[in-house]
Amino acid sequence: MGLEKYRWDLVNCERCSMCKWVHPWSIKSRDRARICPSMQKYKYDAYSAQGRFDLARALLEGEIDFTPKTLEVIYTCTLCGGCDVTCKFTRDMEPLEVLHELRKYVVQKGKGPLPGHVPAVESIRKNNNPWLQPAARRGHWARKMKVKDIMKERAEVLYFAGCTYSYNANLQHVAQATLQLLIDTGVDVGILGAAEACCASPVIKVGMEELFRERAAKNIELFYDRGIKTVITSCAGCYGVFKSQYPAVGDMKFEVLHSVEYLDRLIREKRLSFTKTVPLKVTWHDPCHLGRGGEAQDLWEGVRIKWGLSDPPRHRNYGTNGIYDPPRNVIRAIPGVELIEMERIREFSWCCGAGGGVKSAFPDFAVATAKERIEEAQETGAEVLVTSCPWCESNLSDGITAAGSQLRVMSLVEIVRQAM
Amino acid sequence: MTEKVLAKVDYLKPLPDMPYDVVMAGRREYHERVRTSLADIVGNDRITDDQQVLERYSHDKSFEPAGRPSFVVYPENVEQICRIVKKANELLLPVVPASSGTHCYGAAIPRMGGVVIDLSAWKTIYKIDHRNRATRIQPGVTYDELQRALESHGLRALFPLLPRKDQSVVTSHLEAQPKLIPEFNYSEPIYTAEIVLPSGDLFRTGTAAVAPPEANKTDLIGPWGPGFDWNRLYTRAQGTLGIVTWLNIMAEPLPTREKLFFTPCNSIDQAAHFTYRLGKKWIGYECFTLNRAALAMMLAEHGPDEYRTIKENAPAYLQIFCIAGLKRFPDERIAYQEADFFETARECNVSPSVQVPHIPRAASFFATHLRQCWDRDVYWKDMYKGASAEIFFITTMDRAAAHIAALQQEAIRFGYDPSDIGVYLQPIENGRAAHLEFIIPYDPGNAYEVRRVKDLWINASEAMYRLGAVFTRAYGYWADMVNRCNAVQYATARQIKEILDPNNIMNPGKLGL
Amino acid sequence: MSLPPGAYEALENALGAENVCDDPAVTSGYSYMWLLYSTHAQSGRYRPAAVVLPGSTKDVQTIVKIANRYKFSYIPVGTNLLPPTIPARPDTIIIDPKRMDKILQIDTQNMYAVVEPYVTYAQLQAEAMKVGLTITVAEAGAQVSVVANNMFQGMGGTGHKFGYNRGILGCDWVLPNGEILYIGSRGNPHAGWFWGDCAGLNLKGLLRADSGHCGGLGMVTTMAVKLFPYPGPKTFPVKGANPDFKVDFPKDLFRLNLIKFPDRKKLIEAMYEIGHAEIAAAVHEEPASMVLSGASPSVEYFWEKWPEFMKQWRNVLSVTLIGFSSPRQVVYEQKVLDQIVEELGGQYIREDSELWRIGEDNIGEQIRTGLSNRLFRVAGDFFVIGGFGFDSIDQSYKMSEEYMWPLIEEGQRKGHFIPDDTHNDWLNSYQLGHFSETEPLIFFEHDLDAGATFITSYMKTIQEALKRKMCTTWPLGPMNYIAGPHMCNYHELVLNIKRKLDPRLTSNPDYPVPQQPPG
Repeated sequence: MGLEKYRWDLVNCERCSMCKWVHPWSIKSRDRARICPSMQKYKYDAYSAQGRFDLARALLEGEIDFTPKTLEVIYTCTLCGGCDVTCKFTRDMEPLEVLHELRKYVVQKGKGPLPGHVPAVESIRKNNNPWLQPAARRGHWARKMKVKDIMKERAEVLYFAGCTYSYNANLQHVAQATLQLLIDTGVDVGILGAAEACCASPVIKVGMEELFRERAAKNIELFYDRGIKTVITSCAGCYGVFKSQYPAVGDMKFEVLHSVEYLDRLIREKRLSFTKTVPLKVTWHDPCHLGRGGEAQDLWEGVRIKWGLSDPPRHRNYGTNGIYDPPRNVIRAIPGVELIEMERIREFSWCCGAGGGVKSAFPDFAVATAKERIEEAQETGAEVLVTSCPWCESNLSDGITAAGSQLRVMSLVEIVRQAM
Repeated sequence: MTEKVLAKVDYLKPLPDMPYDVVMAGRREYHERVRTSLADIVGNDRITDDQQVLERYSHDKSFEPAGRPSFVVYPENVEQICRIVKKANELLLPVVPASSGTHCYGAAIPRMGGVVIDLSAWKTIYKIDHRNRATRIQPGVTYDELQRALESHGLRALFPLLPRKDQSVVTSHLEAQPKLIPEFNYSEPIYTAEIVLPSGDLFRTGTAAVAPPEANKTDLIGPWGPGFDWNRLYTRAQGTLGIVTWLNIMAEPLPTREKLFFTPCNSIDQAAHFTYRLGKKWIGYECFTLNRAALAMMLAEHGPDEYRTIKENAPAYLQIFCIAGLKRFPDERIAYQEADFFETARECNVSPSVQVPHIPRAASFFATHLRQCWDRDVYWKDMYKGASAEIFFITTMDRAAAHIAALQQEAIRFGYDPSDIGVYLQPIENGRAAHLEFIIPYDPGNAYEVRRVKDLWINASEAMYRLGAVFTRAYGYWADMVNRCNAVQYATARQIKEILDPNNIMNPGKLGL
Repeated sequence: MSLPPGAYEALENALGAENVCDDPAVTSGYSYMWLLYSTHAQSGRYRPAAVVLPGSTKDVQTIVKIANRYKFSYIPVGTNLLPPTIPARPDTIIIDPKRMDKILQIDTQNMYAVVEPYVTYAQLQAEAMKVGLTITVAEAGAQVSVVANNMFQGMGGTGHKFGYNRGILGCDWVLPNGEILYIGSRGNPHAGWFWGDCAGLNLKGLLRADSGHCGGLGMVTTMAVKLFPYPGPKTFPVKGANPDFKVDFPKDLFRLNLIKFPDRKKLIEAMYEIGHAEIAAAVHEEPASMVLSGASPSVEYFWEKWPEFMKQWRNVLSVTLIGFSSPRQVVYEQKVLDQIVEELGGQYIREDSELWRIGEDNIGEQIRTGLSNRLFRVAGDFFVIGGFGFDSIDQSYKMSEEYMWPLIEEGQRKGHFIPDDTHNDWLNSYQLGHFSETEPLIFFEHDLDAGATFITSYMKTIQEALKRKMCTTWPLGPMNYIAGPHMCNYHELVLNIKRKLDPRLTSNPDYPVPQQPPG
């Protein structure tokens, strides 16, 4: 069906503009009222969900042809899902699905992805990671750690490091710290080492459905084969795609947890306790794919009937059941740490700017978005911006440079380790 | 070599000189033609060119230059006005509407002659609509007449401060004279209007447009449109865009009990601060501030000596505030508002009381005069010296002190005792803005003083303008002053005037048009 | 759909290439919206020839002058919610004020804010609340432009206390000739923004009327708007999570009353009595469809509840009391309200009931509109059968009963409008009951047949009103030709003014009144 499936949505958008803003009741200031980074950067309505609905409709109806601008409009979106949350407050539409479908449509028509995406896509095809790194070196981040290799021995829990934590020398410590923490708390954990392959999030984000399905199916099969009961990842991108996209590919017979959820669980079960005080004022950035994008999707196949009712009735994600409380619980449990919230949090969180292939194709846009988040974080008076996503950590760090800010970005696990 | 082309020399020849008697004969002929045309419409007994009558209309209390009409007509009905206006277009005859007995600001002086249409005898109160708190009246109805009629229906008119006995309520509303109650919801009290357009066609604003009142099945309440906001365009237009023949205006519930409070203040800033705070609390009805000179002008019944005594005893500024109860639980309404009023007073460090210290008569005066016209022959502003000049404009209360200081400076510059200048500060819409009025008494028999005060008046008006005063009621000199600094507004206003009044017959010269 | 030769380059030179775009990928985002097929049926619709993003009043002046020079038309927009902003002619550009999004000033003492056209109500109110002030928020939603909404309607939930259509103070208005007309106190270069009426002829009267000129007379680029006292928390008090937010105002200062009356006439009497007693901050007849849609997280939820809810929620008046001076005011006003309710046989909806749970967010909606777009959830498209015409409360009731509901029932019989036999409107009191307007809501699918029924009915409400000499529905654009001849030929005056101020017809040419009656 592709885009066609959403024709009702496209035609029925009344252009209320809710997709451009945080829900009015949750707006606390003029400066932090927007939800859509793309609108903030590019200004024209075309760069909002509403405008992209219009674009999709015009393409479907044959009103317009592809131009380079068409591709720019479609790909200058971080797929953060902010519009999806605010639209769904009022309408029964699926902006995020439409934005994904639009990219698939572009690829089907042979127009996408963009040149900026190609190296990463090709690298995933060849090396199982988007970073143009050899697959064989994937497990090197853990070479000094004593941990089970799941390809050789069974473990209940797979720690899935993800491509960025595996290869990025500046971020590997996050994976190392998380894994060590799991080991220290007695979890039966292992890793896939060189056999770990990209979750394929980067390819689905740019609309390459076929490649994604192939890669996702392989991963599901591998996890199943190795008898894994729980997959833990520190990467919000991997987590989001496991939760929201994998179920459409295959039967998920394993639980997926983000490391912050697992940390929260360990604290609640008193398997993890803190001995040191960490005197820090922090604020928490909700990664899109952990929060709004961290909900399981309903694999609805149906039609719209009279009055726009869905048949069969479909369950909708409102962005509320993502992973919002676990990281906050963990932060609050650490002695000395004071959590000060930003204005846009939880389902209304402002995107870091890196997602949806934006970081590779539109790096300026990515940094501008991060810069706004840094400014928002600074307004809280916090010293540290804590999050738990390699894309967010990396791009927000670029935002700090751009903003000339004194703020630091830390992964939640780092603070946890400091307090242990 | 190219051929030389000689410069073209055009010369405009003078018109042949016309003998004086021919010119005058032409004028007389025109005058008689006008008389016949108008008399055909209104009848001979309703038109006059009696010199004494014309003299009355040719000047007023202001410093504006005189201008004598050729005729005054007293039409009987709207149809006659329409015909007069149509005829005036044919004859290119200026038409000036007048409704009040006394004119103060030059708006009804026929600057370019023509015919005055006097509607002061149009005294019909068509309807008092208690349910919708409205009353539809003709232009000749005065405040006392209206108030008496409304009270029997449990309503009250929205009064300005002590209007003259012959003040037209319609004119007061059209000129947006400030009302004593700064309640936001009463601030634009015109619902609908009937207007004879400069073309002589009849127009009605808002929901009145759909049919004449007798056939109209609305309540004539809807004030907007049709098309543009005509009520607003016609407000303060000084008759330059047509003649209003009736207004349907707000009439508010008559209080069943009320309580007045007087708050002496050391400075205008103190009074303004207190008034701001009360405005945000959204309580009370009448609320305004007078300085000691203005207060003395109102209260002195026995001439200048008493004026001076009261002035000496009065506080620098006195804020007058009224709390009232309506039909339901009036005492409880007064009680909660009084509690909030005194709480605010404490926070502002002022001490309201039900009496004015040292001026025992003040309390009873205001208790009876908030909904009354001025009942003595000499108007209160003229009591001290026989005449007065006024400067008023819209500003904000926090700028009042600067305006007052600048005015006092100007007064000193012109050798005028600043302490004799009355100050009246009327908050508007819960205090978001204010009408600030200066009353400058002078002796009309003293030519030197008249000239001095006129110079002061002009210079002070300019000084106020430079301080940001908004002369929304741009009478006479003020119109030139504001047009001078706002070219696009002036040009656009002229365009609108050209569309609505292509022959420029409606009160020409006013508003600079 | 292209501009005259040289025009695009002139715009680019003036604004910078990044602020002008004629690519269909961008322009298609300005070519479609709700109700479009019904209002533009006669003229067709076009993608704009380009979209421009001015950054200042000066930029807007330049654009307007270029449009005059090259003879193309432009439509200034705000947040772009209504069909008049979609081009109905080729060679039309959109002036999108996205870069003009600043709150330039909030004057706490004198209660006003100065805003650019891309500031929304939610943004402005959020800042105003921090300093103890508020604004009445458009019913179209708090996500709409303050400037555009004030130009068009300016009505909102708390209109009973804060009025309607009277929010505009000083403005900078770029006329169709490119000159700036300073409205109100802006006319005095020393005065600032605090007042709306002009010195000299009050040209503010041309800025708007029963509805705005929809960009037909240029563009207001900065506007001061009235703010009002607000005694509540500094941040809008919301709790819960999407899609089930709840508002939580302190009850001693903000009290919602939902009152069921035995019939609609009694409800109307109560509105009058409340007005005469000068109590309350918000007073509305709340129709069942609006309340239930506001509480519905999905279309399925609405339709599951609707048949039963429609029976239970009838003749309900929503009255919000606000203690501007202190909690004492709320106590007093509640006592007065209790007396009125008792006299008229009304019954308060109990706070522990299911009906209350569904209706309780009304108070949030009145203060900052956040639910109204859920009206589209019910069937896809939504509007009112007619209305917005302002007169008395009685007039609203008569319009509704005499000819609006019969038209709704006709639409229902055709199967185009959703079933609803409540005969309740969103009937509102403004300025302490001095004014009223009514909005009988209709819900229909976004298809051509239903749209045709809607637009025919809407026009019929104008014709019926004219026939009965009653208050008419707002006639928008070409509909002025239906109303004008019966209403002192106002449309001709409007047209003459339009032609004078916009002789080249470049500024949204078909508004406020098109040059010719529709074919």
